[in-house]
Amino acid sequence: MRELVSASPVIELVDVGKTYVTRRGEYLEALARTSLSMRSGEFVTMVGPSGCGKTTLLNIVCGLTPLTSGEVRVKHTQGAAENVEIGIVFQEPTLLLWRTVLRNVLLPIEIRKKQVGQYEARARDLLRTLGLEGFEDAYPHELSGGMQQRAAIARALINDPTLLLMDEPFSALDAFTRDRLNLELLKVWETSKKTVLFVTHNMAEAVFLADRVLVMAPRPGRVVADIPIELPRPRTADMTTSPELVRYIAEIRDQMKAFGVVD
Amino acid sequence: MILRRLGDLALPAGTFIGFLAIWEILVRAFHVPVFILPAPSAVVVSLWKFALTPSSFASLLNTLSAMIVGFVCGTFVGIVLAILIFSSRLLSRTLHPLLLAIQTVPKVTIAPLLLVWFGIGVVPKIILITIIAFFPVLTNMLAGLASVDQKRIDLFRALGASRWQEMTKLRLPTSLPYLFAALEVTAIYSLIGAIIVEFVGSQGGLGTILLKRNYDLDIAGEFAVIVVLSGLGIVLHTLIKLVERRTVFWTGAHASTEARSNVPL
Repeated sequence: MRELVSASPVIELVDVGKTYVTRRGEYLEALARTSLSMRSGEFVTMVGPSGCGKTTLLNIVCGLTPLTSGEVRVKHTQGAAENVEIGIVFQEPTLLLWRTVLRNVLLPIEIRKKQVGQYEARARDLLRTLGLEGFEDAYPHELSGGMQQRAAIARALINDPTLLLMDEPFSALDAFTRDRLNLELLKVWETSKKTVLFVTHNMAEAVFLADRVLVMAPRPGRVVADIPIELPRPRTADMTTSPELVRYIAEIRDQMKAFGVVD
Repeated sequence: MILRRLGDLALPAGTFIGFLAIWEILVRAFHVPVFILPAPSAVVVSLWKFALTPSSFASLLNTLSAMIVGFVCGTFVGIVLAILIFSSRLLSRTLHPLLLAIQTVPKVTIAPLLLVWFGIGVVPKIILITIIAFFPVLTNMLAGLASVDQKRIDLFRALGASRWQEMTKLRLPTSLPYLFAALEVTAIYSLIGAIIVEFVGSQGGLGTILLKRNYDLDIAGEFAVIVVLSGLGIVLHTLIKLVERRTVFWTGAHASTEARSNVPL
């Protein structure tokens, strides 16, 4: 049964492209026609330099950016964010500063006009899993950057989303906090089995987290390689320096070199 | 901490007391007539008499009540207009320039008109104060509503928030610091507005007393009323600061935005 479910793509991008018209009337291709599909429960990372269309792709998936060509099929329904819940985590925590951590986590429930009371227990559970027990009634300005980002992850998960989108969520944090949050994210992912699309510019992070790494190149933004990562799960901290992981990073570098992204 | 605070207070307080002392000495030394410039001690005596007269409190209440009602009306009108102008392109293009143009009219000049139209009483005061008070609120709220960062707007859009939810749950709370910056200014403006109308014509209020004492050459008494008025201003300002600190607790002292105070009265 499980196999059957996970075999069906939870999200499919067919020939999706985005072209902007600049002020001077020139066409700027932010994302060349891209096709991509993700299985249920799959952890996919996108890695590439800035300007390679990573964020554009993410914004298309969650419906923030209208696309100029192709279509996004989420669970075989057309359109992006209509009926399917999508959780988003940005580079900044983007918490509402006047709300407690708990009420920040419950924001998506309020916006969907669901019964907030019914989700409070779930919100507290999520905060406990993310190491924020005891901070439910704290305000964002009382938390460190890492703790704020944990709260943002809890907020993205409260709706039990089909798809979790993460746009360089840990890049504003110091390296130690980032490593810890990566491990904790994997723990949450392994228990919830969410489908995750994770954008980063850090190759080690991309390999460490992923089932599949999409390597992207700019001008125009496009996916140039799709590398399956066959490191065993669960991933552990000492894998970050394992020769297998380093080999994958070398492979990504080679791909980027071939497309002139790195020297 | 407390010692440093006391130290911060000691310098201006000392300067103020020194200033009063020099004033007192000069008036006594040069025998300045009391109808030209009374000594601070004479002002204190007048203040004491003012405090003992029951009708003073009626006047104080008269001015204060009009001021508070006008302040609340002006704030409400300012917020509602800001939301409307922010939400509608049409209103932004029709109403906004008109409101800006109205602001070039010195408000003092409308006071006699308001008396003709609404008679002597509390109504013209409330109307003038509303007209004076709404504008700083409007401009600051417009700036505040627009100050929301793009990522938070993206978040709300991605969550499927309606325009109304975006307004009430995101934009309005974000603009609270801007609102309070405006309120600090408008509280004082409201007081000025009340006094202006009372100068032009009124049956009571501190402005009326002030004028009467001026005609009677009771200069010490006039100073006493001025002291009461500035005390009122300080109390209102402090109250707003207190409410601000409790409401907009997340910004700290640094983020408070200055209201535009160059509105012609």
